[in-house]
Amino acid sequence: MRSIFCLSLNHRVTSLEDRERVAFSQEPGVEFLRRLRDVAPVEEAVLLSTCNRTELYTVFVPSDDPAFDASPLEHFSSVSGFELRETPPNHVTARGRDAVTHLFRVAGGLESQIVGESQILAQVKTAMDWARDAGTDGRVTTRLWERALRVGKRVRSETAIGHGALSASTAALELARKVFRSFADRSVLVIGAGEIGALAVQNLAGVDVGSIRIVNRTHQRAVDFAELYGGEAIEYERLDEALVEADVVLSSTGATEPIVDYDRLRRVRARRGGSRPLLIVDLAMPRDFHPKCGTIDGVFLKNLDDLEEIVTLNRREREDQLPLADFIVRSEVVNFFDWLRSLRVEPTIVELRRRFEEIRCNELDALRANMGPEEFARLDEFSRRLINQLLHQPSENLKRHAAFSEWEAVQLVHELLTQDVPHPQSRRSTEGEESE
Amino acid sequence: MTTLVNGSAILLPVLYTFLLVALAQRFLDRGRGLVAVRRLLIGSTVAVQLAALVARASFQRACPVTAQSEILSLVALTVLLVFVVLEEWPRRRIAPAEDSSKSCGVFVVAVAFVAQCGASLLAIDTAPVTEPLPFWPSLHVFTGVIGISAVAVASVYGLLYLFLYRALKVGRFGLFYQRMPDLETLGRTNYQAVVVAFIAVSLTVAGGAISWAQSEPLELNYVRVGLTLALWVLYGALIIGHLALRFGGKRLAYSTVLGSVLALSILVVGLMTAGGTS
Repeated sequence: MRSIFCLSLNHRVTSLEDRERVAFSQEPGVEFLRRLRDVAPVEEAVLLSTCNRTELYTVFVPSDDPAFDASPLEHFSSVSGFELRETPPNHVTARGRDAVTHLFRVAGGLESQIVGESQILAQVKTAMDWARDAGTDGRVTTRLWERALRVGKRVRSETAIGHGALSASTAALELARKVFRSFADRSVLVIGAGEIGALAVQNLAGVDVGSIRIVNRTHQRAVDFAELYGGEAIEYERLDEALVEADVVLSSTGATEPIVDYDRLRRVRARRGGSRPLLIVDLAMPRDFHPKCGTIDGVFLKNLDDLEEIVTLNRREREDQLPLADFIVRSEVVNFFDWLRSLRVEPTIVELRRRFEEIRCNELDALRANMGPEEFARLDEFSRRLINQLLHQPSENLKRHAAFSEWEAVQLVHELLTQDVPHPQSRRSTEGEESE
Repeated sequence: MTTLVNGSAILLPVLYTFLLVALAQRFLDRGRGLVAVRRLLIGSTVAVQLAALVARASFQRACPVTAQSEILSLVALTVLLVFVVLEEWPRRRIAPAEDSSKSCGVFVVAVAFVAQCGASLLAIDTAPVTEPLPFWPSLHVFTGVIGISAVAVASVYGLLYLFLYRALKVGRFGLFYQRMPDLETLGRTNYQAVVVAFIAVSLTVAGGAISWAQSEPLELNYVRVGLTLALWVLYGALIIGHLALRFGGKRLAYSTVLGSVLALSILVVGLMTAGGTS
């Protein structure tokens, strides 16, 4: 009987240096799987490699050899050239149910450094592509990956675990989305062409923004910034004019005093007219906008503390979703093992169907001489349908029946139904950890 | 006829309750629950309410806008329809994938729920009015009810706008903030409700004027006429201000809340004198 094994080097137990050494890109990853298949007694293998984890999932037939437990690790070390340490451990392993639960949690983003992040789902999908390229995929891992991707999708669609920004710069964008429906006809003003400004603009990369303007005390830096990230550089002297036209302001200068005070912004507000709101996200420390500016009608002034509060609330909200996500993982693990257990009775079902088919063909052959071709074809179709209908429910029951978690029951049913044909898997392998 | 009226009087509050639960679940983003069947619930509620109104109309051979329960039931229906037109329908037609989980429906439908509960309490075991209004007064009351409903919806969006505005100003980023749509969408929906209300109130004023000119049996209620004209002028000014002076946002929201006070006064005066026409 097959067993599932997982070796994980992840951000919780493995240092960044070690993770860098053991990270795989596509070609080395595929090559690693091919070599592993050649040297290790594994039936199937999948390698998942992201910036935070490298994990190997293998499916194999357990052996009585006591040294076998250590062998997956040795094979990993020998093929990858990476030394797995026990003290202090730089890896974790899991078998059977624990391994499957771990994979499902990984796919659901529950094991990610940023809980609920969605990139992992694409990376899990890529892992199966590598296995296919290497020819190390198989029936169990294919099914396992289908279920893992399903868990990932369910966790994200049925819980709010992926909602809400978890960094100051994305929280600023989230805040802007709370004020404006779309940015397509909106103007974003970036004050300060430093690192924080660059990060803020990079976060706008996937957003359709009407225009981006950059203001910096040293104009040449604004020009360089605009060339690098896109946008239009504006002279610092035209800041008020830029503020009048802006809808969102991202400010992050290194000034030691506020660059915009209450009176100045009030004049800007008066020139804007109408009810057009102005969102100012002050990412600077010390602040670029005097706190009193936030009291002006139609001006929303937010600073780093506000963004941190949003991040904290979002993190708490995600954590609140963990029990629901865990429930999804547990239910899918049960479903997967139900399917895996059904594989035990598959030889019985195959043999049963083969025998029924044999009897059907023999009986039809005996009648063939007394029938015309059309009549024979009808009888052939009838008998085929009859056999299928007769065997359908017993086959489904065999797959589903909980009693088949016990090997004795599997073999007993096999013997009863197929008489002299032995079950292809020996009694010896019933200790396989594929179940609970 | 009585069976249908009594049956719908019991069934409609139940349907509204389920719809409220569905929209509350959607607002809170808590699992699927009734959210998946909310459109079915909206459709069923509208269908039952229309069936009851049509039955009354065919029995009376006139628009069912005479009894207090009929007016309240019509308010509930039109609030629901205005919500569908302003929020549910565009969401499905224009931007089905765009943040579709965020909806203020629960707050709008709460108004319809209250109106329907009132209508049901008044309707049970009450025979339909046997002397219905003539056409013009009926049109006047009917469009008036639509106008009041649109004003109610506008005020709900106005209030939500003000709450979100405040949350953004003071940095209160709790559940309400998280589950609200953006400020711009609230402001735009608020304005659209103002336009719907203005058109309906204009028809009300026109219907009332024609009725009065034709000297049909009208007992002129000067308080209601004054309030209606004030509401009409206010909403007309809001639309002109919005188009000409980009008047909107917080000030528009405050104005719609003021408009809802006027509309509520009109409704109260109307219900107190139900049976008269103006």
